[in-house]
Amino acid sequence: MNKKEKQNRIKELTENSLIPKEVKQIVLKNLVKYDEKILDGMLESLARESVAMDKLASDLMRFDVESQKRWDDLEIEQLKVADDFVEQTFKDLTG
Amino acid sequence: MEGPPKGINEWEKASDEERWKMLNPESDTVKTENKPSEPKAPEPGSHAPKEAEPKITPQISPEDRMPQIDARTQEIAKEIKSLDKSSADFRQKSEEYEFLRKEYNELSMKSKGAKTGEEKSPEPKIPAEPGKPGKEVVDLETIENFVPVEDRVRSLKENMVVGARNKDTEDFLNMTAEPYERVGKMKEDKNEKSLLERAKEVVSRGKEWIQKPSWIKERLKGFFTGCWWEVHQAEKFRVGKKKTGKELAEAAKQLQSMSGLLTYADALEVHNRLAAGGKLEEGNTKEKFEKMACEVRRERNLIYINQVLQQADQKLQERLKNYRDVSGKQVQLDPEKRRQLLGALGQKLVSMQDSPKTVDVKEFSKIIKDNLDPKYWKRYVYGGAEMAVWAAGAYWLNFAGGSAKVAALNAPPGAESIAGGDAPMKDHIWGTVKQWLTEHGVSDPTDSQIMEGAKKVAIDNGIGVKEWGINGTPMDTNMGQGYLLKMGGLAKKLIMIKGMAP
Repeated sequence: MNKKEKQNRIKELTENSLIPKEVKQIVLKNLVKYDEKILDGMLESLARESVAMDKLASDLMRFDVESQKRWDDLEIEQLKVADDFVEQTFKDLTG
Repeated sequence: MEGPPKGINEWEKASDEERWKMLNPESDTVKTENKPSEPKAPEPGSHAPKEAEPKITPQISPEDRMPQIDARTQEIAKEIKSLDKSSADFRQKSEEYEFLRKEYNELSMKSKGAKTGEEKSPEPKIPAEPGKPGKEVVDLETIENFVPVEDRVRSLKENMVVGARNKDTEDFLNMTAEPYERVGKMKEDKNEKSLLERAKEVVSRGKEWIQKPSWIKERLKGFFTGCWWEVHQAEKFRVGKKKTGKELAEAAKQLQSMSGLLTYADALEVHNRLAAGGKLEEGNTKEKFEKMACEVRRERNLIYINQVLQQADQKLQERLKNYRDVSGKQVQLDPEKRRQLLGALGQKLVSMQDSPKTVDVKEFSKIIKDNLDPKYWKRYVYGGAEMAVWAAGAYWLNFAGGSAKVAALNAPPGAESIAGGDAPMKDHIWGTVKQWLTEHGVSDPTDSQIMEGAKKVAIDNGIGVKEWGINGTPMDTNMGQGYLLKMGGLAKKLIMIKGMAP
């Protein structure tokens, strides 16, 4: 990867990064001034951040699906309780 | 004794007319005009030849017949539970059930009429709906409307409208006191997808998200700095209810104001609390996590509960409407009593939310805790912050010099050592470097990678290693456990070392 390619990749990753907007602006403004050593460091940092976010996203999605299942099961239970309530109340009222 | 249903199979295969014949062998004189005449049932006490006995069924008394019907209907009630409502079997069994039920009721009436002057012993009637006890008179429609619980849940959910939300439990319970005025305002959305379809959609969307990392990143862009969770939930609302843009914006606004959102500041707070050995399950953090983990689902469930209550109320009213007590009077439910009963049911249903709520909060907290663990955070999530240090460092160097100060100013607590820092020696330099590399993204470092790193660490720390021709004090063989090794040089060389991988 040459310097130009590194700069482009950093630009792309920075846009998707969670870092504050002000810092992003500084990075993008000064990108052409940085030497290759700094660019390497930036690339590595952004890649690590990206991995962390991917993991977080997949964890949250898994949570989302599992949680939905829990609440769906609850709804079935609640309906059964309501059915029992109707039966019992009817029985109580009609002797 | 041989009963009218000579065998379940024969009974089930028979047409209604045949069943009628089986049940009333003497009442078919008109219907059997074209059939060969069959010998009549013998008069009681007569000595008719054996072969002249009725082939189908002898007439039996209501007292004998009723237990048979009772047993058969119970059997049907069990069988019908496992059948698909739209299947032919379901229809057939429903008809049989209804047929038997009517017969039972007729026999019951006859039996009561015969007991003139005798003490009345009320016979339990067969319930309208298979598998449900009851005494009311029912029609075929009720049986046809028998729907398994899962389908009813789906149907109730389909009538839910997301926008009609309740602020809290108190509001909800107050609502039960106003017999569903608010519910009545809810629109029905006939185009709503079924629960199963939505579940499939969520799963497939989940897969899609995971398979498209760039899209995930886009979605997560504002997680710390903005309101990713809100966007995420709002998106689910949109997909779930096909809301208009305006409604979606409103839903998002509501969520933003009502639900806790994990902002960048929150994330830092969580991180700092974890770093200080604190727990997430305390104080404001706990509340915030509860809101984030299950607020939306809890509120949707409150709306659902409302639907369930409405249905229960209607069902109870209908059953009471069809019921007459011994004096033939309709049983009335006092409005106050009705509210009280439904309020109690509502409270019970709301209290059932505790179970999934607790699990949700626990699971969600774990995810956040794992992902914001100080070590993990320092290693990965501070990547962005580290980049900022790099960037700002370069900026600083250009104008003032010295990146260390910048790192301290910009990096959140815990990130000071991200670009280097010290590592206590464990066993030997080799092992310490190997572990450090593993923790910094070189999952399985080769010997040459470790050697490169270890030499760098030895030189930077002035440690002598005879085998590698490096002079210094102390010698690596004289170092104590826990000796702090400066890893800054190794950190800078990390990219190069990673590039050495085969």
